[in-house]
Amino acid sequence: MGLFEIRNPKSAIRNQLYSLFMKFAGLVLKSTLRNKRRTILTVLGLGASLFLLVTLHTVLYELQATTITAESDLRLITRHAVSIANWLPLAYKEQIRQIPGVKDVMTSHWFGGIYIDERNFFAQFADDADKLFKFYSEWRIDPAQREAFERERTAAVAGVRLFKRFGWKIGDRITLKGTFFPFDAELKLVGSFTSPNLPDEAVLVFHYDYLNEMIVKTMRTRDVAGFYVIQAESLQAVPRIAQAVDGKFRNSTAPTKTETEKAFQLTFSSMLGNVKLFIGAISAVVVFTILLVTAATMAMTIRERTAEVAILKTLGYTSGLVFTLLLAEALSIAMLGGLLGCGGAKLLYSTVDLQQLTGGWIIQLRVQPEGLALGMVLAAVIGTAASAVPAFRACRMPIAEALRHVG
Amino acid sequence: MNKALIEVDHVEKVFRRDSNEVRALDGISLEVAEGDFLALMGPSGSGKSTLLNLVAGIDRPTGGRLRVLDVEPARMSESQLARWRNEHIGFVFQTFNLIPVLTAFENVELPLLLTRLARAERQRRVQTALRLVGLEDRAEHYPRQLSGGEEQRVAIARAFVADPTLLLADEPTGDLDAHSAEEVLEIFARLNRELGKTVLLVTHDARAARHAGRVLHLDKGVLVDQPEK
Repeated sequence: MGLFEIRNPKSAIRNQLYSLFMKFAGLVLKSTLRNKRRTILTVLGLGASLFLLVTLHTVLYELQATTITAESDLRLITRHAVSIANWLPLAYKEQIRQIPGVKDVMTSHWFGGIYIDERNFFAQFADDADKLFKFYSEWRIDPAQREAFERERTAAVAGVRLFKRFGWKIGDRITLKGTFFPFDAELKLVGSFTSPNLPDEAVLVFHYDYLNEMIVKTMRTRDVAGFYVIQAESLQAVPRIAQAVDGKFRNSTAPTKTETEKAFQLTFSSMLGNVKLFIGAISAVVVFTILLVTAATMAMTIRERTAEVAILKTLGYTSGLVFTLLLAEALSIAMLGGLLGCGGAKLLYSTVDLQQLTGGWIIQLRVQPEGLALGMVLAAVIGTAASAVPAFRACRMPIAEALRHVG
Repeated sequence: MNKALIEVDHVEKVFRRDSNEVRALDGISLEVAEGDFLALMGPSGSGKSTLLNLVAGIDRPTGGRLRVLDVEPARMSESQLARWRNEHIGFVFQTFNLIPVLTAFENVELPLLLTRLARAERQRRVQTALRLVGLEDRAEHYPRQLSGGEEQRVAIARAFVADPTLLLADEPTGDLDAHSAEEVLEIFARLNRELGKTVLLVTHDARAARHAGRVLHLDKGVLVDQPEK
């Protein structure tokens, strides 16, 4: 005698999968939220560690990030072979220009002054004003402002981010207090520019002629350049130019080192090599420790429910299904932590003005898709690794033995 | 006599703990016919729960032959046993064993999630089962919001909601007061009487005898009463 009429309606595989998901989603969700405090703490712990991981990945990326424009591939930098702090004679400029494949050469000098307060750090260069926007053609500036910059000896242009950061307006006069130069640069802001490479928008440039004039006035030297920017005629000419320039000055009192702009930028991040390793190691240990603690908590949650596994099996649930349900619970928690950490990093770094927050030391932190993918994959691995073994053990345990775990 | 649903033929069960050997069942033989309400009584450690576990296929005998519903559970794989239990066996524990995060409705629905029944049909069955145990108004209550007797009635609803042939109960009144125990035993009696369910109830509660059609006594792994062969 039957209580109910049995019906087994046939349905498409997709409908069956959907219905399977819908049937057990509630069970998984309720089990996940069984101990809300523990679940929240686990999600927060995972989220915090993955946030750190994504941040670390992003910082390392930014340290190695270089100019991304096509124009930069044609630019080379010639500096003193010993150190960037050693200057080069101005006479090199004309000699470099004579080398086959060189389209033009621009003098450049790092100024490194203080604007009002030391915390207001930003990059300052003194360049050949008439060549700046020819060399950096990817920088966009109003033609009238560009003309004003090239015309006035004490004029300066700056990226839009600097204007925004300090609330500057065109026509403002600013003073950059000299640090390793024994004079201040008194400048008039005549233009602002944009660039596809965002760090460039936090740069200020003024006339090399003005800097050189002040050097001559105040120091026992003259006609020196910090480094030269070379514009090559073609990509093929780039390696030949580098070789020719360095060969030309090899036996001089000021030997040079010429490299692509990209390689030049990377030398700055390579100077941080040991710091990077140190930060990386500390962060990895912190992240790994938090992950272990989180994994232990998730494993404990499953072990506590060994008897429940036995009950489900008594009702007819196969070990495979129970294992899948336990894994789904752990993965839900882990992926939630992953979303919190990775999404939080993405959201935070795309909305917070890091330049303002860090006094200009960090212009931007662009969270990379690979960083997000790494975080989410790690979340899935933690969820699986933390739950697979205890879930497997609980499911394999004979029902009669597992039932004895009931209080 | 109706067709035998359970055939126990010289079944033995020996537990080994380190070097110790405990003989829980010692060559026991009995038959339970379709539609029977059998109470298996005996003191603690007599082997009655072990026998129930063997019948339900949640443990395997170490000797003898056990057939339940024309199959030998001991010869089935774990996954075959799981499906077989879902279709044919309803099991009630002493300690209710409801899932604490699920409502009474959801607990009763658990065995039906394994079937292909549509949601509406599942709901209809769960409501019917809860009505049969007198708890239709407690469907949305969580186990912690129910009394012990109510919890056990939910557990009974969960056991028969998938319409199994055989209902097995291991000390179902062990954790209940006299009134609740009486209610639970009456439900088993109704399921047997009105729906024809075969019930095998393990207990040392003498009241169970009043509801069961047949009572057998076990002691130290052997049947004190002679099996009807």
